[in-house]
Amino acid sequence: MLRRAETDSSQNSRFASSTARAIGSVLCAAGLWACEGANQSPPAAQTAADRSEPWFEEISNSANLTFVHKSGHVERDYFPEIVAGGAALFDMDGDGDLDVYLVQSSSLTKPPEDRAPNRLYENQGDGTFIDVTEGSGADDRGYGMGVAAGDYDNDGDVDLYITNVQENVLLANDGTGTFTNVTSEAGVGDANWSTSAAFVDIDLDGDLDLFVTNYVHWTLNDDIVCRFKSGELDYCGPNSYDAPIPDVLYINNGDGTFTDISLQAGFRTAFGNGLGVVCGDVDGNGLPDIFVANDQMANQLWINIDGTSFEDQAMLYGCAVDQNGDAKAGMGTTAIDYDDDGDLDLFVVNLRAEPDSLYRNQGGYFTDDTSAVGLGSISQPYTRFGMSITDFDNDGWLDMFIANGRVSRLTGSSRSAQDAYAEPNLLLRGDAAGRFAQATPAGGTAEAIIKTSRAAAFGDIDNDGAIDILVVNRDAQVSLLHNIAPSQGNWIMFRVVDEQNRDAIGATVRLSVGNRRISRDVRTAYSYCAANDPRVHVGLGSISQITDVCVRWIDGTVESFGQFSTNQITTLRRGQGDL
Amino acid sequence: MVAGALWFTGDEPLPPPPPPFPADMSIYDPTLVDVLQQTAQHVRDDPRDDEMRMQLGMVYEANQIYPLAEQTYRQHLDRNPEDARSWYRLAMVHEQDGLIEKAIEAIRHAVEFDNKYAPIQWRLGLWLFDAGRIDEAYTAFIRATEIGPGEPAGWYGLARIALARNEPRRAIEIIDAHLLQGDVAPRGYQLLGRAHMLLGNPEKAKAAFTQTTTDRLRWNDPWTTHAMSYQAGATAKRELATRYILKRDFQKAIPILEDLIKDKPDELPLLSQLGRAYAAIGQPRRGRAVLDHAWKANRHSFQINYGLAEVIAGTPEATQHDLDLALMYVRRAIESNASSSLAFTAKAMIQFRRDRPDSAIVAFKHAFELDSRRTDQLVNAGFIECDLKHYADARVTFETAISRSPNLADAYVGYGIALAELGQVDEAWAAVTRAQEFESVDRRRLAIALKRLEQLQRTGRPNAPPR
Repeated sequence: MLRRAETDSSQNSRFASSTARAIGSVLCAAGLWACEGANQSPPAAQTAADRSEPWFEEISNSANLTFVHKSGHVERDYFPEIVAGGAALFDMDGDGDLDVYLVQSSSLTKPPEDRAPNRLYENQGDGTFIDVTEGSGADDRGYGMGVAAGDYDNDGDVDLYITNVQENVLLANDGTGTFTNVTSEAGVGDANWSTSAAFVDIDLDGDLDLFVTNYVHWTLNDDIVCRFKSGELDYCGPNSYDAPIPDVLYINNGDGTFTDISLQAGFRTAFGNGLGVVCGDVDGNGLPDIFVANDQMANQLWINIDGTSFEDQAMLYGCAVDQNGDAKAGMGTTAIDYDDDGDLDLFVVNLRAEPDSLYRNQGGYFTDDTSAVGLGSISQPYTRFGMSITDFDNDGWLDMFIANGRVSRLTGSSRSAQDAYAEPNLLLRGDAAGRFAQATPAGGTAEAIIKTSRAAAFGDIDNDGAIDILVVNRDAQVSLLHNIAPSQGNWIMFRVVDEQNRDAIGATVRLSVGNRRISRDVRTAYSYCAANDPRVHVGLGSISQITDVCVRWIDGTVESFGQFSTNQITTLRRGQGDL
Repeated sequence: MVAGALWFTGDEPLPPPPPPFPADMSIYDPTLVDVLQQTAQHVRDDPRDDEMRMQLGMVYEANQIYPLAEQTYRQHLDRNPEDARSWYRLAMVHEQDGLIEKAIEAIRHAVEFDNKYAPIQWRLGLWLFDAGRIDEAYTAFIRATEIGPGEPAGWYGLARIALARNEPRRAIEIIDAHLLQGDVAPRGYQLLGRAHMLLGNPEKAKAAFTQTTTDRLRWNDPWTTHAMSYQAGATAKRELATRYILKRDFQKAIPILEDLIKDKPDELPLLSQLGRAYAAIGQPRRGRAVLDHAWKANRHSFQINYGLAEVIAGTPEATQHDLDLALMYVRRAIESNASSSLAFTAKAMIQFRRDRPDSAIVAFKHAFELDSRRTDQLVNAGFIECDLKHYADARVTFETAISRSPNLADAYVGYGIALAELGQVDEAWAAVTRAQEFESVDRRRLAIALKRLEQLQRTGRPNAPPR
């Protein structure tokens, strides 16, 4: 059901009352997550719908984020060169601001020692970053694809898992931004071509497990030369290889090691050319499920049966293919309760000339509502990778940013052209009716950024309550899009942690805002090859008080934290609310 | 309406403009270059030959040179603004670029000038649906079904609209009547499954989804088929060869591949295809020679090592030495791609022929573990276990296969054999009876199982003690 369009600002005064807090607490404590009040009107937004002021300014140079991704392309088109490039926004040193990790690709033909390494940048807290790669141990030199972030060893700091075309790498953080390569001890060095990965407590045992999406079997020895029908040389697509690789689920043993349970868990019963992954409780049984976006093959929705066994029910749920029945080229993906009805909806972005897919959760199955929300044709001219559904202008309604870049060159373009794959990014403004339309200026920046974009990581780098974006561009400097959206409304941001101050990945925050019940998961893995800010951000428009906030922890316990005023970043720590 | 580009000098219009032509021909396939030069020259020589200009547009479109296709179609439309076919092709070029609104705009002109060609209507419906203009899409699909009631595309669109409007019963009516026969049936069942989900019938939905595929469906559109016939050059030939190979029509694929290899003697995928095609038509030596040539150029290629292993092991007269060599190749393939289920299947076959049944069983089971959709590999392993009289192992293997693929006929046969030899004759009869329900059952294996069961019933004695 779509949200109602009208607003009711008169209710705002009631939100601050103690009565409202009490009612909210009771609802939370009773576990009434999805039964009441969904899809209600939002607060009035103070935005200028037709504005042309930029939403973002590109500040990579002034922020000293000078990383240039290198695909390694020289002459021959090696397949991995066209899809590589990952990024993480994560707090490496626990100082409360987001640091940056950028995954380098560099060269498929040179030995690792001759490749440029991945880079680690520390947030100085003054709008600038400093390159702290040297001596950090984070300088992996695999041909890099993506990165996942999570505290796998429960020591209170965020670790990194790097996906490569060859062996993946697990980097354990000592809490100061110094990392140790523990891949071999942990047993997570999948040697296949991996893309997106996710840390998720899949069996609810209190430690983070690891899901790795694999793409295609490719080696230099089996590289294929691909061409357009015209005979022009170009990058291959995955189906040129016809060699999809099964994805992998590593279960955390709690002692620094993992066990690959992919076979027993059922992940070899269905697989495709995997590029994107997002985890969340799609079927509401309390266990996180896994959605994998496959490139030119049907997607998988792995329904979590008991924490160790899974069934692909994508076709049954209606998210394997699009509404026309076609398997599309799925890349970036996310899951969010888009329509405030208490369950997770899925969004996948695809290749040029294919619509995106918004799968709306109807409780047991999805309907493909892509066209209904205005997304059927708007993005089709582009090839989409990193993406997020986020309220960038804090008007109370979710917007969307999509990082674009072709995977096959513009036909007839010169091979010496500077970047035959570059495309502008897309910023789509969400409205009260739940529909999206192109925001102005296009792409959100005063001057369009036209590059070949891949990963996009989302987070609030300056802790001002507005979500910023880090975009990796193939063979170009990264774009750091600082959010300067004008006429911003109110907002709130939560860091959700357990008793040991660890990000409670998989927990759900529920806010009572007017008549709306907004649900947001604590999640780092979504978009494409990216790790994102784990904090929960909610734009609120003119609402200045939140009636009640409660958290459903991954063990199913619901804890209420009462009412909150807006425009603050606050911590919801397990055990400090009301059960 | 686009005005004709008629610039008058006195009474005579200026001649039509020269056709667009690529600035750099060196990037294109030589065959295509010849076609383009000839066709474009013809248009230059006789710029009023509208048919030839249209043909040039189709050459560009079919060979994915879309910017020039668009320019050429627009030139054609300047002189022939009421040509529906040209508007249609222009719309298709816009679709290739993902420009759906422009595609809709162009195809509206096609509708204006030809209201009898059903694909114009259902494509318009498709794009309007994407654009969220459901009511307009409905009208277009209705018109498509009026023009061609026997064509499924319009009905498919109407069923989709019924689902989008949350009218699953209406969708089922349309699907039952028009979409469960012929090529469209797998897609019809997919829509049927969705309709049952909307009605809250997941079991019926599951049953429908078992009959679906996600392969791209080619709708009947003669104008587009004609346009695509102008595809030229190696890529077109290669696609044709691959289509023949997929149909196992190797005799037709081979001359095309041979022709392609003349220009690209070192292209591994071509050599791999050709070598395996020779073997498939009973010429394994020729196949092996081609693959040997490729192997000398790249000894670590998965596809070449795998191809050699397959070709050698697939030769009925392969000697022990040949099989040892095949094993070497497949091991190299596995070194290159240890996650390839196909390579382990080949290894299993080779080990079986080398009279190493235990190794064959291990390899077949590993092939299944790497790709658990391939339950046929478990069946192979199970039958070898039966040969070895490891009936208890075989029982477990077949049970696993059946649990994964309840419609795998041969698994029931093998299960029956294993159960019989373990003394569970009634259960064995039940399994073999189940196997007989499937048309796909291997009749030879079934006959062996039935004979053995009858024998056991007479003697009451299993063949060997259970392991």
